[in-house]
Amino acid sequence: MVFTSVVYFLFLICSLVVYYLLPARFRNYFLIAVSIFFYMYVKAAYIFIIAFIIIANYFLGNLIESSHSKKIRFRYLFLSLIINLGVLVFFKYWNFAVQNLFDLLGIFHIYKPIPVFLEIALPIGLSYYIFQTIGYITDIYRGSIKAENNFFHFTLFTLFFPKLLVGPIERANRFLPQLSKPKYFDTENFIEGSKRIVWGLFKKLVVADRIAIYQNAVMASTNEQSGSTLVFASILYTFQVYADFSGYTDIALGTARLFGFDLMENFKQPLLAKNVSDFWRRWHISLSSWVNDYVFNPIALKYRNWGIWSVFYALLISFVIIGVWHGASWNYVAFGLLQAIALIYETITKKQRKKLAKKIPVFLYNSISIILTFSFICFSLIIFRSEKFSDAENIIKGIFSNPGTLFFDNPSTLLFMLLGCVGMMIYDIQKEFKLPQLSFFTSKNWVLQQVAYAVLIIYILLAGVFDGGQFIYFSF
Amino acid sequence: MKIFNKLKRKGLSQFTLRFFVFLAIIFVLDFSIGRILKSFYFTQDSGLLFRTTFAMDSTTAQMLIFGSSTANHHYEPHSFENRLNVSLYNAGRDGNNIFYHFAVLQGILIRYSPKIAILDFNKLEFAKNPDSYDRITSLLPYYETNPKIRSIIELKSPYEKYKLLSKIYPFNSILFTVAVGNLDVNKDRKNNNDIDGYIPISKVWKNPLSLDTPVLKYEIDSNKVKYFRSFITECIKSDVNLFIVVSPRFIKYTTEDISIALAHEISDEFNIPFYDFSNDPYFLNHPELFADISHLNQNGAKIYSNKVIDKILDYHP
Amino acid sequence: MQPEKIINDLTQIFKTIFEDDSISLNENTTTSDIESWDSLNHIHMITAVEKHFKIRFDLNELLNFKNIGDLCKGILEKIN
Repeated sequence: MVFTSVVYFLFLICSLVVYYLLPARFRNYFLIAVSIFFYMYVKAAYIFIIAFIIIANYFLGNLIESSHSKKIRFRYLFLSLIINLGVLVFFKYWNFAVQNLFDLLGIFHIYKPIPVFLEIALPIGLSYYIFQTIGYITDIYRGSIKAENNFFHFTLFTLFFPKLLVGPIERANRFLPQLSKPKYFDTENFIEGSKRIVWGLFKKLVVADRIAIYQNAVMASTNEQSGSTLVFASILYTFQVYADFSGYTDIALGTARLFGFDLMENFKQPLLAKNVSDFWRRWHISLSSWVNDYVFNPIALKYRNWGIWSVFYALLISFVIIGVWHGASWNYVAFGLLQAIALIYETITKKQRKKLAKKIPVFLYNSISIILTFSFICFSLIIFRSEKFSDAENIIKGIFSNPGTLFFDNPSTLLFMLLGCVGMMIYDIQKEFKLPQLSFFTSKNWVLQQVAYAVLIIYILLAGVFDGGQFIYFSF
Repeated sequence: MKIFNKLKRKGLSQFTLRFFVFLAIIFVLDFSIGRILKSFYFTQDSGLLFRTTFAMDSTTAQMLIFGSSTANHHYEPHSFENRLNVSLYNAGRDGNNIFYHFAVLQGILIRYSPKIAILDFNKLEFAKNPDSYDRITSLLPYYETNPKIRSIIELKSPYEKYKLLSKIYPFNSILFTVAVGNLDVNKDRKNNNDIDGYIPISKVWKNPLSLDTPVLKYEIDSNKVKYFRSFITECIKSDVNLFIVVSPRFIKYTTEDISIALAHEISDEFNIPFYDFSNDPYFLNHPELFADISHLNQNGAKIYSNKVIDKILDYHP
Repeated sequence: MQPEKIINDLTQIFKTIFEDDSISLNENTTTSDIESWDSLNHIHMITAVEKHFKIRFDLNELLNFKNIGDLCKGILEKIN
């Protein structure tokens, strides 16, 4: 059930009405029920996987908490990691691992068996909830949180439907306390949640899906496209990925808010980052901070005697994990490595860059930093999107060698894409540089604010992409 | 039962009031902007959207061409007008399918009966594909004006009726196209200078002949077959001499496509002539007649049109 | 050793590692309060602290430090 479908909004409205009509003490149970329905709507059988993860981790969490011997605590932690990572690897990385292992054996002519591939679809949200439970168990092991002793609370922590599809990867100490507070209908939650959903729909339908039509047309034949077209498409792709992911996240956060829950922010104006490490503090924050807490810090601190090398080593491992988290494929590994290299470079040059910044006017230095960081992100996303290295090679070669005019279908397509990006970026710029006076959307006058949101909804109706009815006819 | 937390009655009534004010603002904006777009939509006098309106509501040509892009670019009107001594309008539209063709036919038959019609049929035409239903979008502006095609629009999704409560929705994504369609400059833009609905292409194809990579079996969409049959029966009912034709392509086919086979079978059943040019050796030897592998250029269109006319004259001397 | 003395020693270490003489620490200081406190400086700081007080933290202790107060408590536990 995608967040932009009619079915989702019917589901949402019905669930909300029943949720607030039920006595407060039943509301959490009701949320579990609708989350199960939501999860099973796509593929019913996968409920068993998530149920297994919930049950196993619920008990292991409590076992770790109640054991006093360090050794036994570690054994339970280890068992839990085996279970969580085992499920993740089996469903997400099995075919990739088998393929590469056999390719390797093939190179050395060792052995030529028939590879065993699994023909299974990835269970929805698997990577998100597995990471979330790993964080939960690790926190208990470290002693930074108490194990949840209410099974239903733990179930809802894992299964809460707004964050099931696209995260955020929540933290136990943020989410679990919210479950014990009774929820009442609150007009502010309703208004703020709805506003968030409208912005999400704008980003997803008006910006991301509109650019996607253009991308599909261009990417279908990269080697016939001119360099300018490829550069333009690569820049747009960055806006597309951002609009798509953060738009969905806005809908997830807005939905959670309607039910009285507060999920963590996942994006903070990432396209305005001034360097790559800044970018990763603003982009998919729930994942990058997860990797920071459970991978980077432990590794860097464990090898602290190595000095700067411990940081480099931890960066490499962390970003390869962030890379493959996106999928089982080499392009994601390469994407992760590229980020790690950029961050290593930034670590080494930090002092020099600070000195340089003092010599140049602040505005100029910041603008150049933002543009350079943005260019790097666009470049790394070329690698990210290319399933085969030859695709990335085609695009990069094409950028430098194919002269020709910019293809943009017709002026209307171009106008729709640009207006969408500009709208989205104005929102971000205003937030980043705190310029609320520019906006009707935050106006103290409620009529003005309502008109602003009404106009936004009207614009979504005018310019959103609602189905495949909008397409670029690419024959000439 | 406790729904609200210490909520003052006043706060709730203020919230309800503002909520309804908000709905009212949206309704007024949607209705007024939707109506403005509708009137501008129907006052366009050139372009893709205009051609659909013209075909449905205005043309009185004695001969009509139906189909997708291959219809639109392959039937050169002067050859037909001169040799068959009829007036012609080309109602083909890029990327559309039998749902669209049938809807346009309905719009026309309610006004008059043309003498001859050609339905240009394509490979994979009957394949089940969700995109085909999305393409029904091009008919949304006519939901109010042409009640006969509503059942086709409702094939798109079970929610279409409710989405159409929004008056802007039928004109989604065409704001700028509609605006420009009302200007004279639009007539000179590429792909808009049509000749009786026909759009000539000047490009010349230079690559070698490609071999078909056959899609042997695919799922047939029974809705599409149903509307194909309806297209034929409606023509028969209104005494339209229908010809079903498969256009040439610059691809060598090694196997017979199951959509083409089925269409042929159904045509035979109704005694409707069916001509298949998809593997015509003449065109396979002349890449210079094509603009790309599935479209003839203007020279190709002229030659092909005359071949079709020959067939029609053979059939109705 | 007194907690105040530890904070004083830490402030000296921070000033050297972060090359910033304006740093003043209290129990509630966290990474977000000091601009140059990034992960590399954190590593350098921890190793310097361990050297200074002649102690060795284990990983779990390090990961649970949320602010300077936690760090002080950790140091106190080790040296007493």
